[in-house]
Amino acid sequence: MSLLTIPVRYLRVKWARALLLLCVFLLGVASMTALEEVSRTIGESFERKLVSFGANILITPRRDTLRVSYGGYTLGDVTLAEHSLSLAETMRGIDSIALRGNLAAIAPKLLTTLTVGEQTVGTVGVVWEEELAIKAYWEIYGGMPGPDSVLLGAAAGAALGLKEGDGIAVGGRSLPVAGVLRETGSDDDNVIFVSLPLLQDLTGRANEADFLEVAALCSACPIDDIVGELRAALPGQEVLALRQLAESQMYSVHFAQNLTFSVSLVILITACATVFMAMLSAVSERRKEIGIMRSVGFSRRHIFSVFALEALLIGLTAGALGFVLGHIVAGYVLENLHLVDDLTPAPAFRRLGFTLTSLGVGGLAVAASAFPAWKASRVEPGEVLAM
Amino acid sequence: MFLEARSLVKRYPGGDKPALGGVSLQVGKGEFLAVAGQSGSGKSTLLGILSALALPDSGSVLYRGADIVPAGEKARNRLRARDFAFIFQHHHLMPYLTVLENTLLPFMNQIRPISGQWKEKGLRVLERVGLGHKARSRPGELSGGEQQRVAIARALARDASVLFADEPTGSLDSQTGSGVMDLLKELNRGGLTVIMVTHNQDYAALADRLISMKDGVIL
Repeated sequence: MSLLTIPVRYLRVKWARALLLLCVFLLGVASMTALEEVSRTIGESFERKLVSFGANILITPRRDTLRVSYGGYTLGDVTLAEHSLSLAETMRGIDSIALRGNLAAIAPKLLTTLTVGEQTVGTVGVVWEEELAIKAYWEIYGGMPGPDSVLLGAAAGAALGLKEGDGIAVGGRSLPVAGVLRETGSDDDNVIFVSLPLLQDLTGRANEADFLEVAALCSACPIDDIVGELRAALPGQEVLALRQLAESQMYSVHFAQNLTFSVSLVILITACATVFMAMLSAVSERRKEIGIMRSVGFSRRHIFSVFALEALLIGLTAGALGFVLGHIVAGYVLENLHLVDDLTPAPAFRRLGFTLTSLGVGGLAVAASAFPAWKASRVEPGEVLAM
Repeated sequence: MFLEARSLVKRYPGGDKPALGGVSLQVGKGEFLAVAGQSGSGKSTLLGILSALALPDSGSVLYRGADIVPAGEKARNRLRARDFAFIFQHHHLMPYLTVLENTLLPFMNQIRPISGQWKEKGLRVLERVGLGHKARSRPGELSGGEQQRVAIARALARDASVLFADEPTGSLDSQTGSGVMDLLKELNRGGLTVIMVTHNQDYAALADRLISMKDGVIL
């Protein structure tokens, strides 16, 4: 027997009313939890898909340049020194950053020109797996290229008169054409692609690259944080954020999250309004009870506590059950919409989220009942007990 | 003087005459005082002010020599919690609490559960008013007389010094009403000060002293 007995007994006797309030809050919390988990999972999946349409960070060797101008006439920049980019060292630097987990793909490139037959053609050495990860839009006529085969850009293939299955003599070696790219409308159309180790071997530039394209997942942290860490880890290189691309990707991801937040806010306000109205009407109905409690020495603070505890009990229960229900619903929705895969697993049950949600909803329920509870505490016993 | 009212005046909004028009009164320790009068005579208003449930527009109420009117909300709460107890015509029990919980309601204003010692005392006073076997029942399962005895048990559980009774037999049949009056008289003999408002002349005659009120003044 304690102060808690009063709200517990009341809720038990008025179970239909308690159940109604519980359901309103529970469904609100469940909807919010489910929406948050679904939108977060979709956002992550969406972001992974977006980065496959282009990198958003560029790493290049540092160049020391001097602007040449005289008498208002500018001759342009003169490169005084161009530092080379050691691939192994750069990769070590990249792997050392705290936000390494946010880097979905790192695609190094080596550029050169090679003579094919009688024509000179731009050649790009790439790591196939990484390149295909950031260029999901590539459509290849033929097969996937391997370590000793060539992929032709659409215009380059046409200019050379080559198609998939043909052979190509490059640097004294004969390489098969694995496939031809469908026209992309980019620089990729005009070059040929070979594997990076092969081109390093052909050009005698072992362990070198001209630049690296990096696809970063930026929904969890701003791209500036990732760039900052990369700059610190790679002091001899330039790290450039392709901000516009990153921001447009983030806009798409955050749009879904903002929409979820807005819907959640509406649900939350509705639930709070329901608790507010229900508690307010309960105070009017229970004026006599309040008078009895006041007549036996309950202070205004005690009366406030009785009503606040009632709301807290409903809020805590609704928060806990709503979170569990929302988590189950989110898993069901994601499973049925085939939105989970190896890269984007179904959200795990978060104990911290469970605890914070329960406490938060409990607190919110108390806040929603604060005015009715205050009103209850102002009831004068002499007025309601008909003395 | 144990309890004293001095020149109490009370007006209700919209009322053309004051509910109390300068009432003064003294009650001794262990006295059984009956207040009689027609409906609207001001007796319940007087009881409400004496018991710190309501405040007068002017005048003072001295309990053990201290004026409780300007004492503040906290002090009046303390009085209602420790010294003053009430029984009403319509018993006013919490319908969703058990008989034992209603008896111990004055101690249930803390988050910490009340001790077993208090529970034992609650059961003892329920035995004393003949309701030991109904400790787990709810007020709705009791007769009118039994409900009134629960209200009396609530007053006994905390060793109140003064029991204010507003028409305690008003909603009871004569036999049950007599039983309640016998109980009040017995408690008074044990030292409890009782101030009772009643219409019933027979019950009023059981008191040590009877005062009559009319139009907000003592006759």
